[in-house]
Formats: sequence, C-alpha cells, structure tokens
Amino acid sequence: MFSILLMLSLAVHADPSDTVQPSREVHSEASEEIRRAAAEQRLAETPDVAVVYVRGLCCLSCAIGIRTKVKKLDFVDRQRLEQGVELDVRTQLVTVAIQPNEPIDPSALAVAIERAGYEPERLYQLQEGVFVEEPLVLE
Amino acid sequence: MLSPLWALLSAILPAQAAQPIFDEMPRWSNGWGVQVIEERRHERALLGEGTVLSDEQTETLHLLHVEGVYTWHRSIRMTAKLPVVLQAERVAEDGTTQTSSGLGDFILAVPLKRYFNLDGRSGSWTAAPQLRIPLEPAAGEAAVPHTWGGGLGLGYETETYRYILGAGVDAWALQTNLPNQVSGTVSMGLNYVVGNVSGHIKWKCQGVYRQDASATVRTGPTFYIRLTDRFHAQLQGQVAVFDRAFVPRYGQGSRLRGGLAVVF
Repeated sequence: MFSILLMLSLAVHADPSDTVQPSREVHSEASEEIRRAAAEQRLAETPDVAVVYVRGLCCLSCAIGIRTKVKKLDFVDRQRLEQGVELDVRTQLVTVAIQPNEPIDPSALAVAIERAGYEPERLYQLQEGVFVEEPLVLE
Repeated sequence: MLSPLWALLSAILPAQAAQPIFDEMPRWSNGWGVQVIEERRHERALLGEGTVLSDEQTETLHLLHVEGVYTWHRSIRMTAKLPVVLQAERVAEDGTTQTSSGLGDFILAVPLKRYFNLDGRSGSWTAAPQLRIPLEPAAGEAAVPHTWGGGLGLGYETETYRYILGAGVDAWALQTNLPNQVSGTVSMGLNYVVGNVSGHIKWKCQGVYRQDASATVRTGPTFYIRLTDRFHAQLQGQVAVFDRAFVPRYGQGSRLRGGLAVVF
C-alpha cells in the first residue's frame, strides 16, 4: 500500500506548477528564504497584488474560508485571480488582488484570515517598487 | 435472541465516525454545508455464534445519508446526520426475499476542535459529543431500530500539502438492548492538486467492537475531490477483512459510498 501511495505521490507532484521551484527536494515546509523569494517573484510578475504568508495553509479545501473571508474585504479586486484570492499550499502564500488606489487594511486582512481558521503571519508588498514585508498582527 | 434484522440495522447508524463535510470542512467561522451520500452495502453471510451460520442468507442495503454542518468558529461546530434506508433486501434461508425501508435515527454532534497551524503542517484535535435521537418509538421488528444514544468521538488529524493522516475513536452507549460499541479509525493518504481541482486519496481502516463481543474490521480507499470551492465529491469503498458475531447479524460484506456536497 505504501509503495502505491508513494508512486501516486510522485505522479501527482511530478510537475508542480507553483510560483517557485527552489529545488527537487521533497519538503512540505517552505523555508523563510524560499517563501520570500516566491513572494518577491509573485509581486514582480503580477501588478496590484499583496502576498500574505498564512501559517498552516496546506490544504485547498480547508482553506476555502480564506477566499470566502478575504474576498469580502473592500480593497480586494474580485475580478482578478480567483475571486481576488489565490492560494498556494506549497509555499503557504496567499496572493490578494488589490483594487487600484485602494489602501490595504492589514488589520482587516489579519482578522479575515484568523476567522478562516489560520494564522496570519506576514504581509509582503511592493511599495514604490521596493519589496517590503511586515508582520500581520491581530488587534 | 435478537432477530437478524434488528441486530444488523443497529450497526448502520452510529459506526460512521466521519463528520461532514467529508471530514474536511468548514474550518471558517459561519461556514456551513450539506452533503448527500448514497451507500450500497452487500453483506454476504449470516453470522452468529462466532462463525458463519449461512452463506446463502445475504442482505443488500441501499442507504442515503443526509448530513449538514454549521461552524460558528473554528473551535466549535454542529453536525447533523440522518440516515435513510431506501431499501433493505434480505434473502432468507428458504430463498424468500424480505424487503423493508425506513428512516434512521437523527444524530447530532458538537465537534469541539483545537486546530494547530505549523509551518507547512496543519491539523486538529477533536472531541465530539454526540446524541442519537430516535425519530420513532423503538419497535422490535421495525425496519430500522430506534433508540436514544450517547456517544463521544475523539480524533486527531494532520496534513501537509502532500500527506494526510487521521485517527479517531468513537464510543456509543445505546438506551435499548442494541449493543454498545466502540470503533477506531485510522486513515492515511496523499493530497493532490491537478489544474483547478484538488483533493486527496487515502486508505482507511476501521475496527468496530460491540458489547455483544462481535467485531468487524473494514478497510478500503477514499477518493475525495474539490471540484470548486462550492462543490465537492467523495467516493469510498470498504470491504470487511474480519467479521465475527455471536448474536446473528449479516456481515462479511462490502460497502460503496458516493457523495456530493455543497459548502458556503
């Protein structure tokens, strides 16, 4: 049974289409460096988004609530990505499409993620072209 | 002695430790969902006295499980289950066929969960008090035996984006002369993401021990798919690899369950 599961695992994950492929090593956890690099890449490739590190984001079904809660925030552009929110279980990053000229409310974002059942950790943004990261704190 | 009909159907209801929606959702506050699972069982022998009494006496069941869940907060939710026996068909010793149908008992549970979110791994511990509420008064030869019952489920599950592992125990005390029982479940499998759909494939083993000293071990695969955020499906097969009874009941069978769910 284990060999079947292993073969299925290799087949399913043979060609991951994630935002970054740091190595062929099989690690479920993304290191801080890998996560930051993935966030930077995502911000560089996609305009008007913010990226959030959500600790524990491993399962797309369990994490439906993140999209359900975050898409309701005023500053989220629901016309882009998947209703404004894209989930990456490999890096535990959530990409949020931001409405043009709308400021992000980090506090509301943190509350939405907490209410989805997860721990909001860090917010990555480009501010005037400069990569900035800050902790997301529940108030 | 309990009739085979009574004894068999007692096993239908409380042994299902899984909670909607497909043991996966909703983790988010104010999330809710409904799932409908169609199940077909074929029990290929009449068991009793620790042996097979007859392998010509069989039973085929067609069940529908209607289940719902509401999550207030990730730490507390309520689930409700109603099994419906659409048709129970039994082949007696003389070759005649007996059929019956009916509603099962309503099962309410309040799973209390303690989630943990680690870097790259998430999971939860669960304690779920459960209550079985008879929808009709108990009757000895009813199509489905009705009884009050109290249960407690304890569970642990964890997953990374690749692997999923779960274990749990469930105990039920029933008010009537149906046997109290305890069951244990272990499951392990793989998560997958293919295009826009995701889910898991896992292998599940369940053992049930009843107060009348009967015991069953079932095992089989579960295939779950998230079609969209809203729609989900599951297919599950199980076969009994060990089944022993001292009070007559049908057993040594197989089960196939297919379900659809919607979550909000």
